[in-house]
Amino acid sequence: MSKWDVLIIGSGISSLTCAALLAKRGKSVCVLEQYNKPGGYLHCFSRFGERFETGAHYVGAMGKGQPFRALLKYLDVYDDNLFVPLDTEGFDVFNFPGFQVKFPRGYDGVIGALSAQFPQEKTAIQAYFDMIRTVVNQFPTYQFNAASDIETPTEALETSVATVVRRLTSNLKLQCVLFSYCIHHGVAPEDIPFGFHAIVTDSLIRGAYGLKNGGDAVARKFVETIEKHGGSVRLNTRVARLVTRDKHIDEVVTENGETFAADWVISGIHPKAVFGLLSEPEVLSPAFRSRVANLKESTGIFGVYAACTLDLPLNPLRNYYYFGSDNPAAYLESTTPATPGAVFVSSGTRVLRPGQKTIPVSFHASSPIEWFEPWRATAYGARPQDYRALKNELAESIFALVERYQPGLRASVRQFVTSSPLTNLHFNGSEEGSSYGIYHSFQNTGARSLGPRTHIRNLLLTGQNCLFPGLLGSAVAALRTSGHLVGIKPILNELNQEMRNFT
Amino acid sequence: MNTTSSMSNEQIVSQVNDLMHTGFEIPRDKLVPTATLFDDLGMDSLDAIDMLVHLEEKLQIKVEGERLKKVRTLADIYGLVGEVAIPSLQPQSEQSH
Repeated sequence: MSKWDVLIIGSGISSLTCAALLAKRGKSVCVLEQYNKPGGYLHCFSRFGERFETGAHYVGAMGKGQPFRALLKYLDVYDDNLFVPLDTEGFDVFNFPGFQVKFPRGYDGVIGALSAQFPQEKTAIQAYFDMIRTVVNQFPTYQFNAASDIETPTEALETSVATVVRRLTSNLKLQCVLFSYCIHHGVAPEDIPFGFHAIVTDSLIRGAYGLKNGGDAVARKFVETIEKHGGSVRLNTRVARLVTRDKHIDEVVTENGETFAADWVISGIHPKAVFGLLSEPEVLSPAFRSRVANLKESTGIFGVYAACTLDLPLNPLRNYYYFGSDNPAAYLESTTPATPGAVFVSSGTRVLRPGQKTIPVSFHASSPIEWFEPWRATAYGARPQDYRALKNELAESIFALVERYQPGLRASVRQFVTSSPLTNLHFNGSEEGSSYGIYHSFQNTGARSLGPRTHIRNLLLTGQNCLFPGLLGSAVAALRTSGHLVGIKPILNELNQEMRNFT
Repeated sequence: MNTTSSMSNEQIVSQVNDLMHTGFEIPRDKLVPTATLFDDLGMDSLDAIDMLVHLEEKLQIKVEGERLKKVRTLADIYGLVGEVAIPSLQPQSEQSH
């Protein structure tokens, strides 16, 4: 049996962040990953000679002196070759029936662009973004401010973004634009605490970057750093059982019978999955078991990955959002396979290579796993024709929506493949095929969030289910989790210094 | 199960006790109003959150997380559920929000 200070289950960005941080602070750390490469949603895949991202489409707060870059630099993971700034003149382009808005880098640019589109709403627009800037400063693990109260602000966690926006404006089109980033956490405007929506919005406005060489390169850099500090990342190592005694994990057993022991076990996988590995699940109260079993999941995501000809007027340094409606009550979610909701479009190749003849373009829209329920028990790679027919129908309806704004899109598609919520389930074990994990509504945030501590004394949770989804949310969750082992205040102070080095 | 909108104080006590027994396997004879959650009932801060979520789900009520900080005894839980269930029991200052 091998013994470690900390064993980490799963190798998504949150697990890798914990591993790098704890290894750097002298802990012996071993990451156990079921798949044949590390990264979770950092994974890329190749088709038609092009690289596509599965989850890491872009990231915020990456400008100089901003939190995510500071965190990566602090972990010795940052490298200029990993990231590329998106178009400062318009990194996000929102297309609604009858109007388009581009978000340039920085608050002044975004407020100016929105005010030009909605001149009657200038005061509301200014007030909304003022509130965002105020609220994000109250989150110590986002701004790395150990001097502030470690408790997150209650009001920001108990007021929805819908409530905040509707107090400021009754303009439905403007409401739609301000709610658009709900795509990036998968929670409806009525259900998402304003504070979390504010962090997503702030991070993207201040520092939206693409991944220059793909999420795989970021994961590799993490592994390099972990190993440099004496840690280990074990691939093809699926944890099968957590042997507990007196609410303590004594032994971690893998599918091939290998055993590990550690002072602490950190789980980056879904809470339902990790608690299902316990050898004595009855040590958990019926109330807690019921709570975990009833956790609501965010919606499944459907993806289309296409090689498009270069005559498509698509700037790889921009992301595009296409909406079929400008009704804020019903424009985000797909209602039927023929009527996709919001479609998010980005390219896995942010910087074109010389001689490149096509460009990889991914299209993502929400898609309840219920649509794919008949094939849940079928095996990946061997699913029947009617499953593939439904996927093609969805792909064509997504193309048709984008075609309304980008005539010629369909003709530019040379080849494409698709992913369904069942694909997410297969590769990432995400319950219900969701990309964003549990539904981070009021019910699952603030005092009600799961983790980092658990009822198992030496088991901590991390990852997007623990705090908040996305690369940034998952990495910040790792700070809280690691803080339980080495103290959060010293980490925040050092990160704060890292940010100040640029100012 | 009845929801709190149609419950008397006696029913609230009975239903909260049932949920504490089935949800946390606490013997019924320990479920007295003066019992403290942490010392007498053996719960911890994680259990307290589970209890909040459990009561909300089973009684179909909504309790602000902040209010949990003032809860010490089982009687405090009965009171909290009662306030949420019967608005006239809420303090004036909270009604004005």
